[in-house]
Parts: sequence; C-alpha cells; structure tokens
Amino acid sequence: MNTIAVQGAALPPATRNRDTAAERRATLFLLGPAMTFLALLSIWPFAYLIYASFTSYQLAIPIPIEWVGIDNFTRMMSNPRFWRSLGITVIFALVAVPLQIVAGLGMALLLNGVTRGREVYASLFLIPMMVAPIVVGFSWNLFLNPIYGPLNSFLKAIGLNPPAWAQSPEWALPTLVVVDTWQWTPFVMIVLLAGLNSIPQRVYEAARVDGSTRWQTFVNIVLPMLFPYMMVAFVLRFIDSFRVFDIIYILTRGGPGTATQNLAYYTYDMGFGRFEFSIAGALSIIQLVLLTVGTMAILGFAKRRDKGPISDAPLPPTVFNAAAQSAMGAKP
Amino acid sequence: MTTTVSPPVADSSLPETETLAARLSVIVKHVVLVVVLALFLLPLAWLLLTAFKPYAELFTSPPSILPVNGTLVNFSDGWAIGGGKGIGDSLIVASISTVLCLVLGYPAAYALARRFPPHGQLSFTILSLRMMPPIVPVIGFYLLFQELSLFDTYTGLVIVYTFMNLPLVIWLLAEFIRQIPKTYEEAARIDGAPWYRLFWDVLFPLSAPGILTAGILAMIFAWNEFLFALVLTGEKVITLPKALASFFLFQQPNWGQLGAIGIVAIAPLLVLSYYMQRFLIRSFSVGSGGR
Repeated sequence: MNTIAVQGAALPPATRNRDTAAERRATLFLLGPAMTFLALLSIWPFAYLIYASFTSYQLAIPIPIEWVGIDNFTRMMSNPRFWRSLGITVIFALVAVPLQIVAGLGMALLLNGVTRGREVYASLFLIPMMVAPIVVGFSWNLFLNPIYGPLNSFLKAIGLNPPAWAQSPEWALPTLVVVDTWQWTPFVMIVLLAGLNSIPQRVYEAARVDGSTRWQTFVNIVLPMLFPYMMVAFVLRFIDSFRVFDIIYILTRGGPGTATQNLAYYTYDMGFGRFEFSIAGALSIIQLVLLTVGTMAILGFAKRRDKGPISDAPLPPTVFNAAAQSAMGAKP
Repeated sequence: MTTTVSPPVADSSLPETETLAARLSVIVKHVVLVVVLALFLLPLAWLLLTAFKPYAELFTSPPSILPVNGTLVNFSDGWAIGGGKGIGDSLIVASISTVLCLVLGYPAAYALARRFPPHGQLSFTILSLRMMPPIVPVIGFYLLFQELSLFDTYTGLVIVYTFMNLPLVIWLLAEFIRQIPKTYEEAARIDGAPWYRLFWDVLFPLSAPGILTAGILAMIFAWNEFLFALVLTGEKVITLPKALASFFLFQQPNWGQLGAIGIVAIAPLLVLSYYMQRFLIRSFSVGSGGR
C-alpha cells in the first residue's frame, strides 16, 4: 500500500483515488483464489476433526453418534499408551534433534575447512534428506536386516554379537533415532554452513592477531555467531520431529509391541487400524496444541536467554526462519 | 608453527607460498570428508547394489557385496509388479498439484509481496499451515473425502497435495518477488500500464527462476509424500511411496525388485541435489539476494 500511495502522489488526485480502488480490487482478485482454497481446506476438514473428537464417532460400528464433550480427551489421558507415545515423541524432539545439531555442526565445520569441491560434497551429503522417507526406511531396513544385511554380517565377522536392531525391543527406538538423525543432519549442516559463511574472514584474522587459539576462537566467536542459526535449525527440526511417521511405518510398525509408537503413529493406529476416529481426532488436536505450545516455549526461551543474536540477527527473511521471526513478534 | 611466525598479511596475499603443512592439512581434510561421506551414504549405496542382484543372491548370509551375476531383471520386474503404476500415479498427482500450486500461488505471492509488509500476520498464518504435521489434518480429510466421494481419487490427492504445498509456494514466490526491484513496475506504471500488465508482462518473466525453484520443491514434496497417500487412497490410486510400502506386507519382500523401484524413485532427486544445496545455502545466508 505504501508504494502505491507514494507513486500516486505524482498523479492527479482523481487518478490516484481510482487507482487505489482498482488496486484494492486487484489485490482481492489476486489473493482471493489461493486464500479461499486454503481457508476452505483448513476449516472444512478441521470441522470434521472437531466433530469426531467431541462425539462418539466410530466408522465401523453403526451406533448412534452422541455428543460426549471432552470424554475422548479424558479417556485418552488415563491411557498409559498415550503417555508412552508422548514420551517417544519427546525423545525424538529432545534426543534426535540435539544429536542432529551436534552432528550437523561437525559436518558443517568439516565442509567449511575446504574450499575446492565444497558444493559437490554438500550436494552429496544432502542426498538423504531429498530422498523419500519411505525409501530411507526401506534402505535402512535392508541395511540392518539381521540375517541378510551387511551391517550385522560385518559385525559378526569381527566377532561381535549384534542385536536385531529394528526388531529388538531395546534397540528399535535408538535405531529410529539414528535413521532420523541420518536423514536430517544434512539439513542442519546446510543451515550452519550458511551461518559459517556469514562470518567474515576478518573476524578470524582479528582473533588470530589477538593471539586466541583455534579452540578459543571457536568457543568465543564462532559458536555465539552461529547461535541464531542453531536456533533456527532447532525450531524447524523440533516442529518436524512431530512428523516422524514414514520410517516408523517401514522399519518397526510401531513395534515391537508399542516400543516405537510416537504420537503420530499412535494416532494413525487408532484412526486407521481400529477406526476409533473420536480418539484419533482428540489425539490430533492434542498434538496440535503440544506443538504450538512447545514451539512458543522454545522461542520464548531463546529470546530470553539471548535477546541480542536472535531478535537482531541479520537473518534473511526466508521461508525457513520467517516462522521463527514472526512467532517472536518481529515487527514488519 | 610456521603460520604464526610469518606475518598474516603476507600469508593471505601470497597463496603460492603456502607451506607444506597447510597443503597437507587440506589433503587430510579431503580424505576425512571422502571417508565420512562414503560411510554416510553406505545404506543408499547398498540399496543401489541390491537392485542389481539376482534373486538367489539376495538371501545369502553373509551377503555378497558386489552383485556376482549382475542383472537388470529387477528393474523390469519391479516395473511390472507395481513400480510402473506407482511412477505414473506419482507423476500425475505431483505434476498436477504443482501446476495448481503455481497457478493459485503466484498471483497471491505477487499481492503479498507488493501490497503487504513482509512477516505480516497474513504471511505467518499462511506459513503456519505448512508447519502442521500431516497426521493432524488427515483424519478430517478422510472423513470429508468419504462424504464427498473423493476417497481413492486422483482429484482428492491432488487437492490435498496442493493444500500441503501451496503455503510454501506462496511464501517462496513472495520472497522472490520482494527481491525484484520495483523500478521495472514503476517505469511501466508511468507509461500507463494497468496492474495486470505489470503483473503479467513485467514481473512474471522476471520471476521465472523463483517459479522454477518453488515448482521443484512442490514436486519433490508431492513425489515423496506418504501419509496422505496411505490414508486417502485405496486400490485405484497407488503412488510410488505407497507402492513401495505395500510390499512390506509380505514377510519376505523381494529386496531386488524393491531396490530397483526405490532407485528409480530417488534418481530424479539425486539430479536435483546439487541445485538444492545452492538454493538452501542461499536461503539461509545473509543478504540472500546478493549471493
């Protein structure tokens, strides 16, 4: 709107008024279809979701549908399976994501050490996150197969007694954490590589002139300057950790038992394994609330802990960190 | 040791006087990178090797590393048992939804970029849709699709994928358009061109690279998507990830055929990987327009 007013000032007033009205109609015309589509497809299914979660809706059993209020929610809260799946979701968010940050930092530093061929290395490292998660799960299923897989054959050959990884009750969850870390570390690496690129060469030179060792430079200069980038990576990976589903479906089917059922898989199992749509609907809504609260908490924590780098960081307004910046109330 | 002795100014201005130690350290770094990379990509390399192994070689323990009697039969068999159908369906759904995303998204992005402040409330609302895990809306979609007879149809899946990718496409395009200087439009406006001419004749050609990037991303996400396809389709529409997953219902899947399908599923993405890392680095870098 600003630019329109400024440009309009050079024109006669009559033209400006007509222009503004026309511009407003144009905006509506341009924005309208996409907004209608998005609004329709968020509200309509969501209405069904709300309806299902507050009634006794069950697809398989033709009982009369009754309004049951928050019954589905309270029933779920008292179910240990819910709490276990919540715990597994939290493990993904709080174990796998930090692992990815640490591994991604290592890879970014390694890549930053070379100039020749850096882009080729980066694109090869990026392959796991580009590949369909189903194919990722499938490759790992093959790779970790206790009988025909190469890893266990190798471990047996050097005299170890390896577990059955995805099929073993103790190792199934760690295996999934490793696979998720494998797939998404490249993403963190790329974000942190961009962060490292943003540190000017003269900063390193100044530190060297001041006689700081490489380790001191890393801890006192590089890490603080990378902090906003790590936060962006953390928030995005945290949000995505609620999505983990495909690799579970392929590698463990939530098993053995319920050892690897996160909230997403539990919801799927309730909805499409048992057709308990009311429970599944309530689970979906709980996840949405948890995700929103969790993201806000992380952003709030980051803001309070270190107001400077996060809110004043010269991060580019990309799609990836726009959410973070908007959520933190960055003024347009 | 030597670097601390020599003054830093001379060090940076004369690269040809690089010390032996510096050169060695670069070589060591490359060696470390290659080893890490090789280990890192091992599971995918194994998939590739498996795709060329004949049936008898799949179930030997310990497994052969390289295929002894390499064969291409897995590719033709994989195509026949459902891989072909999967590729076709995935292509249909991914490309139609991508085109829809761009058709709906580009005008909206233009309006957002030129008429609204960056990071405004509207932008954030649009983007937050993208952040929602798919398991949250999928139940609502399932019930709605049952009601509207959209279950197990191409139309249904296209609608869902468009919904899934549109927020991202709008955002990427809006960011791209914001980086195009307004001088072009101002010049055209002074010449008396109406808004739709500015939009179509002036800005649209300048946005081609942004449209390409957004289109590629939408295509990749639709190509890789699994949960919606699993829940919202049945026997008629079987996308590639769904076809792959369905073979796991058998106790002893034919790894060779699955490997072949998997390789075909990821081959287009390997080609795009180089392009993607450039795009991602640029997206996260300060002053992204200048790089």
